[in-house]
Amino acid sequence: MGQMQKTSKGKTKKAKKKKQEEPAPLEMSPGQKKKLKELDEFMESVLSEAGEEFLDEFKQLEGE
Amino acid sequence: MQDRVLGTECEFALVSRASAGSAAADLADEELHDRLTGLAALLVKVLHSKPWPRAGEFMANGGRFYIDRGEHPEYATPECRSVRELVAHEKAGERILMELVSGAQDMLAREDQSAQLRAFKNNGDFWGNSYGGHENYLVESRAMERLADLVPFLVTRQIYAGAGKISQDKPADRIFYQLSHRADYIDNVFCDRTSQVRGIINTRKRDLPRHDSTHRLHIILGDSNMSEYAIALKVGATALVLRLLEEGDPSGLPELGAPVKAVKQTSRHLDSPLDLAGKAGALSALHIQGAYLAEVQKFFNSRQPNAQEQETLNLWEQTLMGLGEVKLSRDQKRLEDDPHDLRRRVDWLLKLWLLNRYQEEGQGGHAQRWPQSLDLFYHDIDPGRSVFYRCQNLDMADRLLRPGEIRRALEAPPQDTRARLRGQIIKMSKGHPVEVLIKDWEKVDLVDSRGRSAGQHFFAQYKYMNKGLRIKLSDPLQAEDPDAVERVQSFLAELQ
Repeated sequence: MGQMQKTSKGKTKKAKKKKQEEPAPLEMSPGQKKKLKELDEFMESVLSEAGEEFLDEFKQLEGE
Repeated sequence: MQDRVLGTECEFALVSRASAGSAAADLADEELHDRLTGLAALLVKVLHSKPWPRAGEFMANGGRFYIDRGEHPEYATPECRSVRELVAHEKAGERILMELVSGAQDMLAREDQSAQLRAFKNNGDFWGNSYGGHENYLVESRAMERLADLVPFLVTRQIYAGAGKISQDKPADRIFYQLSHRADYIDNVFCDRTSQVRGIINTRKRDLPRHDSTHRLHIILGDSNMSEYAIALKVGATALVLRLLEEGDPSGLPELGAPVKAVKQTSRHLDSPLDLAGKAGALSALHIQGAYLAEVQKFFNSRQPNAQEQETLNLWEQTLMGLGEVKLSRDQKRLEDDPHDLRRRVDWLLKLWLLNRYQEEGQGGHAQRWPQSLDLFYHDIDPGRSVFYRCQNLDMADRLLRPGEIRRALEAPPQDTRARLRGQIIKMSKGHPVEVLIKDWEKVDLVDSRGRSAGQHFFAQYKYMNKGLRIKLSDPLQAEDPDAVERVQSFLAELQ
């Protein structure tokens, strides 16, 4: 996404926007926080491990 | 028709990665074809090495695994009557493929330690190639004659059945988010082709009336879903609308002025106003789904829905209500509010939430194309690598199925369709000197294979030279046939 692509290189230090669709971090239970952290780490590891070049391998033939 | 037969067919994408050699994107079409053919052949080789009872492409659970056009591994569920069972069988197909991919990965690794093989359950790459997630419904003639009334429903059901997709406008390179993978690959309302040019409704096989005047309706518009709930609602709501068209006389169904355009409009914006045929004004996809739900509810005012129908009605109503309160940014790049937590059940919402979250947490800086990567890895069928399955394991996505239902579907066919008989014959024949030949869903041939060495190619004429038995499975609703079973038993006994 255009907006997403503007993310700076490396870890950004920009202020995080408040997410309306989930409780604010202070309202989250420790269990919820742990799960979100685990999810974030998982996404990061999957994407890092594959690397951007994986997309160059993901070319298919037309199916049905 | 309450006793409807349902089935899905999912085409998967195979991707290999090795330390040497060109990337797939740099290969000419023929080279890419050769590479994918080699990978598909590996899967088949692994399949042949498994002790699973099967007959050619057909498994003992009644389903079918094969390599389809474009070298896509495909799993077709057995004929199911229950939506829940269909979901279990579609998920069983993912597990069968995962098992084959794992075996093929081991083979590849023997030659190249760094080689990787992965499979994805989605409907397109980022180069403009698409592959399908098809649905089949047994339908009475009355509904087949009124299929135009089904079109607005199919166009708009992507608001809960879409898998979500990162797209890119050429040549501007503008990246945007769509609800549906398949929307951009639909060219006509009705079409008899399934590749290159596609219709909302495929007509290629619909003109095959069955002995009792029922037909097979083949829908190729839909996305392949990861969410168990999304599969269930997509198929369950479609079955309800088909029943309405078969037995009801709805008067309030909307008619779209430009259905194909509406598929793409809705995919690009949830609230797009869709032009109506023959009258001024426009309705959003949500309003159109609401009109169908209202007609189905009215239909059931004078009839008792069965448990499955009632469950689907409730789920459909709750989902539409929840979607009414979902708020997206104007450019559809941000999920701003989801008060009913629909992202737990709707793929495109969950994927959008993940994309937003990944960005907000300041990640993604290592790659320009991370949104596409995240989109792709959502659909990995490997539970250890799939972003969707990680959400499910972290209880961020709801499960419809109970523990054990998928495992059961791996081995047992549905007990209320002809899949039961097919699976029974396959299992009965295992260990006997007999070749079980199943060329299609409607018959099983047993041929004496004595005198033929293992692995010897089976020539067509061999079938006529040797003793054989044909069991017809012409009625998809016939689960039991004691006479056929007895004939198979006698045939097998004679070979001993």
